Parts: sequence; C-alpha cells; structure tokens
Amino acid sequence: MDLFTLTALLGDGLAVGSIYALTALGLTLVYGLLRVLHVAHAGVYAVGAYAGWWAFQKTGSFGLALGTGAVAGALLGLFLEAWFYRPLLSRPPHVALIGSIGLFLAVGDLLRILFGPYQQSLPALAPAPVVGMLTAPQLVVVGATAVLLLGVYFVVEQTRLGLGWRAMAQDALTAAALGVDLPLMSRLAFLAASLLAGLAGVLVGAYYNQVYPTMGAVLAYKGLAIVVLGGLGNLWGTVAAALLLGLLESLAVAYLGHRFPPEGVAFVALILVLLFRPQGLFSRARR
Amino acid sequence: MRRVGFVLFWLLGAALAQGIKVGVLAPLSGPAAADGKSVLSGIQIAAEEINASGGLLGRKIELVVYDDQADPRLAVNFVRRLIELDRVAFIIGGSYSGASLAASPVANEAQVPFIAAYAVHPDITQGKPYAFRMGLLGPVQGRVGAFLAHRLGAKRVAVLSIQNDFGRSLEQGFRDQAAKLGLEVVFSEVYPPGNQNFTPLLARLKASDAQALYASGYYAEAANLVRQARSLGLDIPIIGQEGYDSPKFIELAGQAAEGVYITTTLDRDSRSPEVQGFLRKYQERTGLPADMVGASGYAALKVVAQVAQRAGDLGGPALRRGLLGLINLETAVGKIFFFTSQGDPVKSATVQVVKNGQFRRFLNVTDLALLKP
Amino acid sequence: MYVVTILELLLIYALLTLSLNLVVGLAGQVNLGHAAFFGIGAYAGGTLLKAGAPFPVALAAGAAAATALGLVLGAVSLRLRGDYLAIATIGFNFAVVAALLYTPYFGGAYGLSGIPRGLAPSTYLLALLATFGLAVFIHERVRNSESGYAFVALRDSEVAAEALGLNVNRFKLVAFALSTALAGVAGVFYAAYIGTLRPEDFGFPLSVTLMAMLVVGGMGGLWGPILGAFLLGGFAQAFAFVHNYQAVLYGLLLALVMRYRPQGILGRVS
Repeated sequence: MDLFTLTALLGDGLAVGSIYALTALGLTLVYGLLRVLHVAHAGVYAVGAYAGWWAFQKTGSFGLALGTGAVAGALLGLFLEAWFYRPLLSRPPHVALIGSIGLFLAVGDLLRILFGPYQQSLPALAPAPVVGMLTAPQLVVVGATAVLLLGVYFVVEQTRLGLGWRAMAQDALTAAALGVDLPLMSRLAFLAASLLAGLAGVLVGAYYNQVYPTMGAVLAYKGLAIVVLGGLGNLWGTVAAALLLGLLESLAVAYLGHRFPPEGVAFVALILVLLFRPQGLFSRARR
Repeated sequence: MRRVGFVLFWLLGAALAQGIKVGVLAPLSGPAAADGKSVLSGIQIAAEEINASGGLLGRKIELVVYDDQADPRLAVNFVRRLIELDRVAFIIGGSYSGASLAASPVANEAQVPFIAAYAVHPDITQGKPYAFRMGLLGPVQGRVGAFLAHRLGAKRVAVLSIQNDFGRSLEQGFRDQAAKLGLEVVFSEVYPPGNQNFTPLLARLKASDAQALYASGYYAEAANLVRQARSLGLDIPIIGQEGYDSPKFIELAGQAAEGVYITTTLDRDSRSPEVQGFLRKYQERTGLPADMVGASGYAALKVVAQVAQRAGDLGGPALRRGLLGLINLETAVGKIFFFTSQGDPVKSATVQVVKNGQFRRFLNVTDLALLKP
Repeated sequence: MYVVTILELLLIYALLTLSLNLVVGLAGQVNLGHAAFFGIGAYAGGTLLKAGAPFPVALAAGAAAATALGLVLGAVSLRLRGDYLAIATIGFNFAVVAALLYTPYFGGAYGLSGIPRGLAPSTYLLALLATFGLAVFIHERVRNSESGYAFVALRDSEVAAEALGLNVNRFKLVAFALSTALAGVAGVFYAAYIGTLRPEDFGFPLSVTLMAMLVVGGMGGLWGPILGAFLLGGFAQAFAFVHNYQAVLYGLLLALVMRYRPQGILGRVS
C-alpha cells in the first residue's frame, strides 16, 4: 500500500466515521436518558438536510445552511420529545420503537411529496484535492465534527447540564429525588441530539452533493449497530465505535471490496457482541 | 321509430367516444420514484400526441396508472386488476425488473400484451409470447461498452459493477466482447445499489494502472463515482450506460461529468423530427431535459399504437403478430430492426458524451453482430 | 379472480401475524426479524417447487428450514432481554438477507424466479384456507392451554414465572419453534403465489410491517392479529386511488396508533 492510497483511505475513513459519530451520539444520548431507541432520529437528520439545502439555495451561504439545518432539526426533535416520546415513557418499549419507525417512514415520504423523489444537489463543497490527497469535503467534515465533539465534551463533562444528564442516565429515580428536573433534562437532550443530527444532515448533503428523502435509512440501521458496539448510553464509547467503524469500512472495502456482505458481517458481529459483551466494546460490565 | 333511431345513434356515438384503456405500471413512490415519474411523463406525452391526431382507431387513449413502488407484490396484484377490472387492451411496464418479472407472466397468461419499457432482466420476455420489451438487453449494451473502450484506445480496463441484474448482465456482455477485442481487465469489483462512498475502491483502482473504467450504476451512484474519481485525480475515460442517462447525473456530478461517455438509446443529436419533438415536449412539460427512461415509455406506447393502427385490431393476438412483423421502425429510442421471437428488440444504440453540461452524440452503433441478443 | 388474489395475500399475512403473535403477544419476546423466517421458508420451498417436488414436500422443507433457524434465534433470546433482543433480531434479519443475497445457489441478487404454483388455483386456495384454519386452531390451543398460560405468565413477568417453577427456557424455545415453523409454511405459499423471490423482499422493512400489523390490530388475542393483517395488508389495495401517498399514510397510521392507542384496535390495555 503506497502513501497515496493510505492517506486517501485515512481521510475517507475519518470523514465517514465523523458523520457516523455525529448522528450516533444523539441516538445514544437519548437512549441513555430515556431507554428508548429513537429511530426517527434519522428523520430529523433528513429534515435538517433539506432545511440546509433550502437555505443554501436561497442564500448561497454554507454557514447559513448549517445553521438552518441545525435549527430545523432541533425544532422537530423538541416536538417529537414533547408529543410522542414523553407521553409514551410509561408504555412498554416496543410501543415507542414501532411508532418511531412509523414516524421515520412518514417523514421520509413527506419529504418526497414536498420536494420530489429526485436527489437535490447541495454544491457547497468542491470535491478537489486540498492537502495531499485529502479533499476539501473530507477536511470540512472532520474539522466540523472535531469542533462539535469538543463542544459536547465541554457540556457533558464541565457543566451542570452534563451532570444532570449523567445522573439521569445512571439512575433516574435517584436523580429525581436529588432534585434533577427530569423532563427538562430530556428536552435538552433531544435538543442537543437533534441539533447535531440536523447539522450532520447538511454536512452529508454537501459531502455527497445529494439530498434525498430516504437519506436517513442507512444511518438508521448503522446507528443502531454503532450505539450497541459503543455501549448503549456510553457517549464516548459510541464516538469511538463510530470512528473505528468508518476507518474499518474504508480499509475493508478497499481491499475486500463488497464481496462480503457488509451488513451481514456487521450484524453477526453485533449479535456476538450482544451475547458475550452486551455492554459494548468500550464500557465496563454493568451488572 | 325515429326516437329509437336517435337513441341508437346516441349510444353508438357514446360507444365510439369510449376510450381505449391502456394500463401502466410505474414506481411513483418508493426508491424508484424518480424513474417512475420520468416514464409516466413519456407515456403521457405519447398518449396526448396520439389523441391529438385522431386517437387510436378513432378512439381516445385513456391511461390507467398504478403505482407499484417497484415491488413485485404490488405489481402482481395491480396487473390482475388492470386485466380483470379495468380491462385494458395492453400494458406498458414502466417499472424495474423485479416488478416486471412478477407482472409479465400474469399478463402473458391472459394474452394481454405487456411491453417492458426499459427493464433489463431476460426472464421478463423469455418464454412469454405476449411479453415484449423496448430496451436493450444488458449483455448487448455491455458489448457496445467494450467496443467503445477499444475505440478509445484502452488496452487495460477496470470494471466496477452495480450488484444487481442490471450490473451483472452489463458486465457479462462487456467481458465477452473485451475478450474478443483483446482487452485486459486489470481491476474488477462490485458495489451494492445505493452505495455512496466509492473512494476506497477508487483509491485502489488508481493504483492498478487501468486506462479506462467501465462502471455501471444508476445516476445517483454514477454521480458520486465520477465525482470522487476526479477528486482523487483519476483522469482516465469513464464509460457508463443508460443508468447514467438522466439530467440528474449531470446536475449531481457537476464539473466531474464532463467527458463521461455513456452507451444508451436516446440520441440527443438525432435528426429525427419525432425525437426532437419529444425532447422539446418533455422539457416543456416537466421543466427537465428528457432521459432514456422517459423516452422509452414514450416509444413503447407509440410503437404499440402504430402496430394497432396498422392491424386495425386491438386484440392480443393481433398486436402480437403486428409487433413480431415489424421491420426497421424509427423510434425515440433508436431504430428497431426487428423483434426476436422472444420479444426483445434488435435495435441501434448510441454513445453519448457529456459536453458543456449536456449529453451529445459521440457515435452511433448499427453493427448487427454487436446488437443481436 | 382479482378478489381471490387479494384474499390469498391477506391470508398469508394473517398466517404471519398469528405466528408472530405466538412469540411477541403471548410469550412476550421481541422479534423484529420475523421476515427472515418467512424468507427462509419461501426460498427453501421455492427451490423445491422449481425442482418439481410436490407441494406438501415443499411445505415440509420450508417449515423445517425455518424452524431450524428459529431455534437458533430462540437460543439467542435465552440470553438477551428487551432492547438487546430487539437489536439482535434486527441483526438476524439483516444477516439472513445478506446470506441469501450472496449465495449464488439462490440466485443471489437476481433472486429466484420461475417458481411454479405447484397446485391448481382452486386447490391452492383450499390448501391455504385449510392451513389458515389449522394455524388458528394451533394458535387457540396454545393460547388457551397450560402452555398458553405459561406463555402469558412469561410475558407478564419472567421472574415471577420462573419463581413459580415454569421452565422458562423451554417455553421460549417452543414459542420460537412453533412461530417460525408457521412463518416458514407461509413462506412456501408465498413463493408459489408470487413466482419470483428477491432477498430484499424479506428484509427488515417487512419485519416492521408484520410487527406493525400485530401491534395495530392488537396483540395477545386471536382477532387482533388477523385484523391487523387484513387492515394494513389490504391498505394498498383499498387505497389504490391515493397510491401516491401510501407510505406517508402508513407511517402516520403507525405513529398515531402507537401514540394514542398502543394496545391496538382490538387489544386490551395491559
């Protein structure tokens, strides 16, 4: 493997892994607090992408596009939390899960009805080599993710909000008894997760120059695998799993092609992890 | 007596004014919705044209359209509905191979002609006297691709195929002809439909020293492929097929689309007034430049209508005989020399190249040795 | 004839929801990968039908193949609970589809086509109706028997059931075995019905559809699953005139039912 190929693969792996990290982070945050698999998160991501696309069309500014995507995602996320997830907390988990899948399907099709089934282009990032064989889109995505992750780290580890989240994730009843405002924690968690998802949607839309109604589907499934591998509810484990997956995919595809079914292998690995190390690859054993 | 005559005359008039129902199956929602929209637009333009010039056998064509979402389960039920409830004269299959495979046997059994506009799977027509297709078979297109690679001077080629019947049949034809022309395949990989990230494979391809890339896919995958190839500094000629044949490919690939070749059947530089008329009408109607899928739908309806008009009969057996008896018919998607006994067309192909953001003719292929399935 | 075709498809869906109910509604185990067993049965039976085997042989093969893999998933369910099990069943579904997609013997991406019906149309309908009747019979026997009470005890509280001396593991496995056998049988009928199979037809989206049918109709009882199957399965046919809006209506229906009446239309509030 020559240097050119190596840098090309590293750049690609990190970029793809960053995208996974941004979306999976929200998913695991929500799960850690509410014990619910928020499949509709992929719908929030798609809505953010379309909002960003629309803003870019109107203003030509990528910055504004990112902001619009984040805000649109956040609004949808907050709505879902209040109208759908919180009222269903007392129900068995499959209720929220099935409903969430239904919402994801409905949102995807609504986007198709509103904007058409065709892919829309978001030509904000020119696909040219910039530093060595790394391309501009790769650098933007990795850079943006690094900044956002720093932000998340700060909030989670250094603020009272983060403390509240961690308390609620560890033991909600005790946290409530100690005065943590659970509904507020929940709302803020959805806000943060959906902000990230909306941003990620715009970034990916620009990275591949394609925004389309079903763009959330791949992430919906991969997101599940990543949060399990990283440890359901373990934020940094999830980030690590996401980046690792991105890099592994890049290397595996380059040298093994798609001859081995990627989902098949990933999910068999997933089942094995669940059976023998259910806390994920990066957590300490729970019980 | 005069009153009875008047009523009879009125009934006769009503009967004559009664339309001819033509069934259409197309994926209007779901993953193939973009192509469904295109093919339906093409079919609608054809229907309007026919109706504007007196209709078919004096009656207006009425389209009965069902959305099969490219799903065989829906297709099989809708095709029965078209035959038994709607009583259509014939059916245009505007969907993908999966759905068309489920629908064509049903239509064939009922002796209702079924014409697949662009689906490529051989079994759609194989062994079914009432099933026909308008599109080029995959292996035939593949052969044209190898011929083009050879023409462009490449001796070592890379092949990147989409992992479905479309990609496989193209690759098969390409390899067969490449072997005959002495081309060496130095890199060969497949990828799943919907794949967006081609960078890992392309990075390795670049290291393999190939002189041309034969890559199959639909416009979304093709756009990413081409974009990422150029961003890695891969400058070799890229040969696509009718899956790339859409203005969306050019839009999504941007500058990277320039110079990409495709083997297809819609010649934008055709001097035929019918083709130019169709291109103009499609643009006016949808606001987008026409693509091969839309042109195939248009051609399918026009061809069957012409056959019916000549035969003076809408019955299944008459239409079938008429189609099999066709010789050298110019259509929007090439010149059909004739239909084989399986219902597949032997027709001309064209190579288009992207120049200044538009598909333009590069060369046309009429060599029957290449084109016979 | 057209009506009969629709009815046959709905009966196949009902077989699937009843079988799913055995595991989810009665035994309380999450299974979001049920479509995989439907697919295994379809491919096994379809391959035999293509080779000219008589219909009953194909049925037996489909049931056996599905049950074998059903016991594997059942074994997995012994070690996992709740969300973990849900994810594992999703993973199982993906893995099975991938295996079918990458196995050239089953046609790979081309799928399996040219499967003969294997029975005359009227015989097929009778066989399907008879099988449906049998499935209802088995379902009710299980539900109203000791095993049935055991299943419900299992669903309501595994810990308590164990404490009462029930062999929890055995019942879980029995539930999975029966459920997947039935799904495999449905698969063979489907293969004969549609004539052409593709791996992606048996993927996670179908499992979600089946789960949705079960949940919308109401789990646990007899008529709930059947209603769910007929309602959501007949959706596309009944709403042919709003064909362009099927997916959004279907998704919204799911979300709204879960939000406002999670016990489903015919279920009881637990």
